Amino acid sequence: MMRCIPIMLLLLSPFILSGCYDKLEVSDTIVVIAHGWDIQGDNKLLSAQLALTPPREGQLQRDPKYMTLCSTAPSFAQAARELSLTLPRQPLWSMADTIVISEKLALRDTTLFIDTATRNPHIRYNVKLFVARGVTPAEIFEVQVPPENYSGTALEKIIRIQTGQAGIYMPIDLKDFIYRNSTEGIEPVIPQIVLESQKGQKGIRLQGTAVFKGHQMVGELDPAQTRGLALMKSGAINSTIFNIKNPLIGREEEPLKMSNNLCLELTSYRVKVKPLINGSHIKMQIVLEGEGNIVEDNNTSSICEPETVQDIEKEAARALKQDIQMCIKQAQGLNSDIMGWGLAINRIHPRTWQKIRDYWPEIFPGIPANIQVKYRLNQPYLQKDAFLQQ
Amino acid sequence: MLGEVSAQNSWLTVIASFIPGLLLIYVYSALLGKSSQPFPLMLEEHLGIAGKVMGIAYIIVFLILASFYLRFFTEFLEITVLFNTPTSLIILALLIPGTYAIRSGMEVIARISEVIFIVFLPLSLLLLLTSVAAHPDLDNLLPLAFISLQDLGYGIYLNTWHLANMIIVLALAYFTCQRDKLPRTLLVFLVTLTLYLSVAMAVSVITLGVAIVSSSNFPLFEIARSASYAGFIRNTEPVFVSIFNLGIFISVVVFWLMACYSTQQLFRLQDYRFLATPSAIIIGFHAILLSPNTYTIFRILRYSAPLIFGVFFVLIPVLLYILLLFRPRKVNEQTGSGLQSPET
Repeated sequence: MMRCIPIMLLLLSPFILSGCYDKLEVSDTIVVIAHGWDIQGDNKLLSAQLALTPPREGQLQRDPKYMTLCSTAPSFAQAARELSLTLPRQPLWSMADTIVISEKLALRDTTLFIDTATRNPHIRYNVKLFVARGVTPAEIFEVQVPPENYSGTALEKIIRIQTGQAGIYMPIDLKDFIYRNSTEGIEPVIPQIVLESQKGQKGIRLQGTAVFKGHQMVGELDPAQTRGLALMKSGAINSTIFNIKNPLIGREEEPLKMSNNLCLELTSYRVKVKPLINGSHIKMQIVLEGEGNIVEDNNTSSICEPETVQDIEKEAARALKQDIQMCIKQAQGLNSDIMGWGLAINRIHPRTWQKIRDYWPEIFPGIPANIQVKYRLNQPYLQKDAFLQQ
Repeated sequence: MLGEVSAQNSWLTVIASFIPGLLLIYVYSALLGKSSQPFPLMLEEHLGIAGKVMGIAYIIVFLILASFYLRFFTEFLEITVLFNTPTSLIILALLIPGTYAIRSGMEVIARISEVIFIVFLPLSLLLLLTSVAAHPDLDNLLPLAFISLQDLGYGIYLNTWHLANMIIVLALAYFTCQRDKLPRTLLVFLVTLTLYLSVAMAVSVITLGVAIVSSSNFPLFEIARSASYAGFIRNTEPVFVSIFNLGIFISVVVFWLMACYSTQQLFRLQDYRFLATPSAIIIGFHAILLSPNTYTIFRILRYSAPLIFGVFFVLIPVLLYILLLFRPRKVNEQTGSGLQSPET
């Protein structure tokens, strides 16, 4: 009898398999590639890019490969549920890798989406965030970005791949945004995307960075300022490319143009941001050490002399410093501590931070920065000197 | 919860709780050395009828803690992965193997614990350390040791109740062949637990930052959910949940076993194993009735649970130890003490 009890319990256990209550048949689901958060009047507008089932082997791919659905409700959760009124499948929200926030919502109040982002178990912290500038998320989702099937996937790949190519934008995921939004002494930023026309077809492009202060978007950084921001955080980008005037030709005041330019890349960098506090005087010290290579030389003068290399290094350092300065100027102009200087003070001088934290918005715009940039030229790739050098 | 109290220094408060942990080991070892009977009979041995009444109170405490752990486990599953599954079914899913384990006896539970420990510790550490490898921000731990004494004290208090789980040694010591080596074993346990907890706290803060750790119900789950190993191993939360389940199973079963064993001891029953089924019903129902919602469970976790642990697993043993300092008692040589095997 005693042996029968465990056997009976084991036999009964299949009936109480808890997973059955949460079962999801694949044929009843649809993968969400990206979702967009927007507002419409006093309601929230949720848009979702959903992947349509790919054709079976041997069948031709029929368009469209995706569909975009929108739903309006007082809350994003309700809007998402109300998709079921038109959609015969259950969206798998946790599969999304991208969230696009409309500029309108960003300008209004981030608290309108921050709670659903943190409370909802279907939204992961590693999902990438973008602000759609001048367009709605739904419009972004409708754009075709070949060779990718979905613009949502394309966005995630663009932001990731550009960190080692153009090297301007640092990817911001939901965790970064929430962290910056909820931590004293640092403000959030999100890369912006715009729609642009290429040969009559619409395409997407990363363009600028949305700057937030507290719970509102207050302005933006242009690409150079955005690179300046990335340069103030080690590892934010893998490499970047920039142009300087060839120090051997032209006058100093002459603008950078095709004929006098020298294209360089920054392949690695380390940056130290340190607050220097002397009584009530606060100064930020930014020391950047980077190295890189010559990528393209558009003139015929010899650049392999040690003195020339030094001049190039100085000019490169000056160019990088300029980006950083422009970023700081813009951030201070917007009074948004996107560089996290307040946080740096809190970490290194917590007692000072305790005293100034309440007045930080008044103090921050006036903080001077001592920027030191060192750039080391590494290699000229396959040419030891300019190809046409006589 | 700890992140809310001691922010970036949570991991330091865990290390600081090593000191009260040492004190607990000292007190428990001293009680074992002065007692011929296992807990809770040792209360009766030293305090007479008052000890017996306290023993009954301990049975209730063990049952409450077993049902609390069980309910916490179900809440965790319902919040994270099994959103639609009824609480009662998850409770049943844990009570059935638990009943079977207790009916099989203490030795089986000890063996299961050993196996789970070997699986749990390296796997969870691996999960934690690989999670932190993606985007670590060691600066999140700064400012280091910048914490008020009040917060430090509260942090240590919250940690100590995990360490007070050691109280079960007061009963289990009498089943070991090498009683004299128990203090060393307890010390190893203390070092392992404090190191593990401090690594878990530090990894949470490094990976998520203080603000997210403080506001999240299950920060470690959030880490597992967003982890991406080498860009292709993702969605690791099922692995995390499986590991977590193993730990919770042991927590529930150990207190459940203690409730059964204490009942047998106090009421001089022949065996404790037949108590598994009736106590399972009590624990199961109590787990459901414990709280109408998750909010109350988290309030219990924050306020009541540390208090229960503090009073029953720390304060009472310490008071008993102080009492025994002034009222020395000779140990029965035939039964031996908790630290001394009986004379053969």
